[in-house]
Amino acid sequence: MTHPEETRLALLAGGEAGFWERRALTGHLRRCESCRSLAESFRQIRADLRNELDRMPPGVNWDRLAAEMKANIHVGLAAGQCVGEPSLRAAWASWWKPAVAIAGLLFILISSFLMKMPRQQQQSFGRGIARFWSAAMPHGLERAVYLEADRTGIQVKENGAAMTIMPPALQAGTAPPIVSVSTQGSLRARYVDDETGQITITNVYAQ
Amino acid sequence: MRSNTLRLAPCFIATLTALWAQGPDARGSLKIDFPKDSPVAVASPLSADWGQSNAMARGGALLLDLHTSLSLRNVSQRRIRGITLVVLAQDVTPGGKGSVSVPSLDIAPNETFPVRIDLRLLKPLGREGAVVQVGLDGVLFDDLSFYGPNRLNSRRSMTVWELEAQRDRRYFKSILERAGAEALQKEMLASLSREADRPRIGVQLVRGGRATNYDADQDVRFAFLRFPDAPIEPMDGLAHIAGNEAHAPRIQIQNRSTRPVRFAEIGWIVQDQQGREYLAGTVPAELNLAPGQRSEILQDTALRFPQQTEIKGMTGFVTSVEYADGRFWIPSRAELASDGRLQRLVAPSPEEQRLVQIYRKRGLKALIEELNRF
Repeated sequence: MTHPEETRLALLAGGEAGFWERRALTGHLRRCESCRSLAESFRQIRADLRNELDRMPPGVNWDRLAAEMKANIHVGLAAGQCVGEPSLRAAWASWWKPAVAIAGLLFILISSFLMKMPRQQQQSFGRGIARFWSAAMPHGLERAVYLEADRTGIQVKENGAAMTIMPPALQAGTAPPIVSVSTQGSLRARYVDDETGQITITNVYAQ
Repeated sequence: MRSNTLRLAPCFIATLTALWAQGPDARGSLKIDFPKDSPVAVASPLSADWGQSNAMARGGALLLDLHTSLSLRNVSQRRIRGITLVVLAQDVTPGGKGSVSVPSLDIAPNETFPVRIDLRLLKPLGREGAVVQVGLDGVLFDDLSFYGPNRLNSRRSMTVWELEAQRDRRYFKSILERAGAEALQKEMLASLSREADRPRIGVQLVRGGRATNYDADQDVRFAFLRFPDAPIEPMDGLAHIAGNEAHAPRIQIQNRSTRPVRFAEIGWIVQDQQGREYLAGTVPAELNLAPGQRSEILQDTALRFPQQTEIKGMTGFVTSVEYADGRFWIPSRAELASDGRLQRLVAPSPEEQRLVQIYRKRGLKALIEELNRF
């Protein structure tokens, strides 16, 4: 039979063994008399020591001891505050080199990937990122204005509201309005008023 | 069934209440406001004919139809050639506004003339107050002087229309003098035929927000039609195309005149997958371009064509230029006729349209009389 080490039995006696360790050792102690007595002796020593420590030593000035302890705690806290920041800095100092190395590696990989990509795909990729970004934005930030022409006229639409500038009722045989768009942000329709013979040009603006 | 009725009843009552609160009177929704020193005044007492104006609820929105014909009087001492009214519906579409222009006028002092305004507003129920304001943006006189706040750049548009009108009247008069009434009649018939055959395409302009088309983008380069006399020469240009959408046109231009240029406009022709061409729109730009200097016109706008359209090619040409001294360049009739595509695709000027209408409605004699008035 293999016996466990004494240190393991001491930990078991002190209640400091882990779950699986405790299960294994308890199983062994059920079968092994010598180990059981050794563990029991460790338990006894521990109990005796606690009893001895619980007894107050004679001639101790407890008020003075309490004051010294309080002062030591304050000193400890002050020292902790002094060394708090440098400890973070020290932690960063140990991390920055691998972080920079990883970032550099990623930069090289992405750059080489983008440089190999044809120019059109690069631009398409950039616009895709921009679209993804704009899609991720809250809807309140997206504010599109639409200008369009249909059979009722030309209209500006925004947030479910719309303004349409209509041509007058056109007689049969009259040419439909001439519609043109300006990329500066306007839509134009031109028509002849059959009644007056006047040319009327209507515009809607997205500004 | 009963529970549905009970559920719909509050909606019905709310709609009726909102309609009552808004009032069915459409004319109260329009406010006309001209400056005190305006060269035109709303002629009283028949200031406006409200015709078929009405308001009605549609779903959760109020649909407001405004049809009016303003009768305006020229209270200045000069003849009016054009007018632009600005139409603001800020409560309805916060960023949107509209305008109504009447070019090719010839209104003597103290004469009255009509301006029709036909509007439809769709606004969410619950928004109240006067929704449309009509103001004056500008008046152009026969000496090309201008009055008005010009917030919509109507001085530029109306001046170009007036220059085109002068050019086209000169052209038709020269035909009449050189080849007679029959040749003029042929010109009118040709213009009518071109207008009937001119290819048209539906287009939507999107400003702000994001494009809806997620097809792969490609850059399509512009080809250019060059006019020998144009002060601006387009050098190179491209736009991002994704299926039926065209984004962000970018055109490099050079000022090859001896005068500084402050505005230029490029016409934009698109070609679809079947080789059909359409005049899609214009790319205008405010500039500060010294003689010989180059610049780039860049517009952050998306044009969306009908779903089945695939843009395969683009052509640009200079449509107008404004010099820094306020003078303009527009292409001549000969330059526009030099390329068959332009003749086919570019719309007639407002004046040509008006003259054709006179010919169509009142005949050749009335047209000749009209040409001889100028």
